[in-house]
Amino acid sequence: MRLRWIRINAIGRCLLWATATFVALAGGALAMGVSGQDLEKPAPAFSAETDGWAAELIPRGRSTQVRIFFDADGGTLAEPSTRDFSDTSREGVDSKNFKTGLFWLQATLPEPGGRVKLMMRSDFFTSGTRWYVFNPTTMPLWQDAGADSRAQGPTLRTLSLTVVDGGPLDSDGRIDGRVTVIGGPRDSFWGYAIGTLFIRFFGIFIVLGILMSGMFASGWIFRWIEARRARPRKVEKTGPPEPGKDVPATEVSVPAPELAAAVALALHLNLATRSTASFATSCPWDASAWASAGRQGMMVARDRLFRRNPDASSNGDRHR
Amino acid sequence: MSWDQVFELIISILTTQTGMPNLVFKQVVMMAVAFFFLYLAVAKNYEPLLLVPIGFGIFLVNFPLAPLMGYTESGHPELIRAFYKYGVEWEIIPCVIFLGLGAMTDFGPLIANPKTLIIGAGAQLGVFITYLGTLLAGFTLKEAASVGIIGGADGPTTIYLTAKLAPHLLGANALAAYSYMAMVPLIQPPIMRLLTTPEQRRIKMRQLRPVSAREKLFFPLIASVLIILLIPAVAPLMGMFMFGNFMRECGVVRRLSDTAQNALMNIVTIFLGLSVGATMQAEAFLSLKPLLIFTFGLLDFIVCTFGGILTAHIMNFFLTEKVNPLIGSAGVSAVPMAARVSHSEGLKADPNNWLMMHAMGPNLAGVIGSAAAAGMFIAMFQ
Repeated sequence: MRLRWIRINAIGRCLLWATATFVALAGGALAMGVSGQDLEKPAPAFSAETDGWAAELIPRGRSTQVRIFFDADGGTLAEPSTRDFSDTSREGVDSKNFKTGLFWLQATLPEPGGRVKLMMRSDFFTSGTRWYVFNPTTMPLWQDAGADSRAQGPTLRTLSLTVVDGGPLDSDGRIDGRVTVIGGPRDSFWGYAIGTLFIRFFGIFIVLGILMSGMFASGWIFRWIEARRARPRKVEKTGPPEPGKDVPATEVSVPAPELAAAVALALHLNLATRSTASFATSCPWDASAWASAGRQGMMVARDRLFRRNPDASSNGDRHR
Repeated sequence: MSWDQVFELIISILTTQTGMPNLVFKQVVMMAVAFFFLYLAVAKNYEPLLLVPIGFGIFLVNFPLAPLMGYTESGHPELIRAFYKYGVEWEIIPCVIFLGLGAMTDFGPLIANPKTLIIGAGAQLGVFITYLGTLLAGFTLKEAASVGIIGGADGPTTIYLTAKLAPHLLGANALAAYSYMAMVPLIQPPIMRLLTTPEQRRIKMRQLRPVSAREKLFFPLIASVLIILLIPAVAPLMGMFMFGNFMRECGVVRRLSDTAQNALMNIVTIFLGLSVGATMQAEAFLSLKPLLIFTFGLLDFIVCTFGGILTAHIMNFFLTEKVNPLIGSAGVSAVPMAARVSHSEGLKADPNNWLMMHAMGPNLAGVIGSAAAAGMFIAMFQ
């Protein structure tokens, strides 16, 4: 009942309609084949490295290039190449999960029936990355090859797979001294999409929450400074003390800005006709030569400020 | 030269050098679309500053054989292609617009009530829901992010993100964003009334505290430090935004601030509008995707409005001084239109309830929030 003021029914109805519309739109779009085009198909460029081969490519869902290194232990790895999903069966797999596409790896063994350890290494792989292999001679056609995944340093990760010539991971299915592996690293597309959705949505709350805290803190500091400036200040008496008598400092409140402006204007109007030399002579007490000179300097500066042309102070003119 | 040869020459000139025989039905449809947007801008006054150049851009590029969006034989971009390439593709114009927006913005209401930043964050709900919806519809991750940002109701941010992630959707996304921004007074009020009770709409908020010039001067510096440190990818947008605001608040470069607000802003708006309109060539635009983008964009706006109001309701659970939930809808950015809508809805509920300045807080927070969301998406693909 405490929540009565929130119109739960209305919100529920809204959510229901929004969900229904989203699902209808998504279903309609899928049915009409919006997803038919593979717009982000990776196009790797292979190059020979000292310890194997490297592929440079822009994976699906990324704007920057990544490198994947291929190597073989117990055999000689030929230059890898890429394979399109249309060349294989899509049964049971979604190409979106294969962000880097499919690779066609071929290694020559010293003798038929042997085994070779194939390795893929990249800082693009995560602990959730699996090596999936396509084999047209086995069922199911696609299988998780059970590659060993090891982190090497903070970001680098290696997937390694032992393939037996003519075994279930050898796509040619023959014992001929050569193993062929068609497959690639697989990550969960939807897991990533939904995971990142939550992280980034709450990330905005965190960022703006931190900004809010910063603004509260800075607001508090600025208000404290303003309050401090507006507080009455102790002003020392400027005149000379009477001989043998201590004069206590008087509390003088800061005048209101309007009052200060009015006094300044009155002073200006009064002194506008006088020469600057008269400031020193109008000194109300018998000051020393140093004090008179200082006072005159100050008043000349103030007078200059009063007499300045307001237009000349507008921005930019000072740079001319 | 015989008559046959003359006739053959005329036919050859007509078919290869004039547009008439090359005009196809799709281009005529796109010209009709251009006229529709020009009509909305001129007759209905819907975002005319953007829709006039966009509409005219659509109109121009759909003439057959017109050397506007292609490349010359020597490889140089043609006129509008050059505007697009150097302005949009190089991501310059959206950032310059943010500079102008910063110079126009008074952050006073947001500084006076920083709590409204949370509403600005909540109003990004639609961005992420739409992202999920478009993924379900078969869009790629990058396309989904660029469509989702439409709900942020921030034109330059939408253009910036789309140009970076899915340039082929630029025309549809920009048009959807600006069209729905113009339609905020039509889209939001029914949702606002649906999600609030008359008593809630009558909640009066305490007058905002005055904000000193010094505080306003330091705000762009503090905000830049915090936001750019947390989301470096948003530095081009947020950096320019805060730079523009700093020029405004420091008071010593009024000429520069004035140029950023007016002349520079107007110049880049012309080039931006023409460039965006010119991306909508018939062969690229007339497909199912733009239609879906318009539909998802509308839902995006609705869910963002919902998210902002819901966040205001949730905040009221914890606040002793309640906020009027109507200001939640202003979290969708669309400055200052969305704040005006909150204000007018508040006045309808109580003629003495002045919400304008209170709604400007979430409105400005929405600008920061949508830029932050764009930065999050950009970072996601790096």
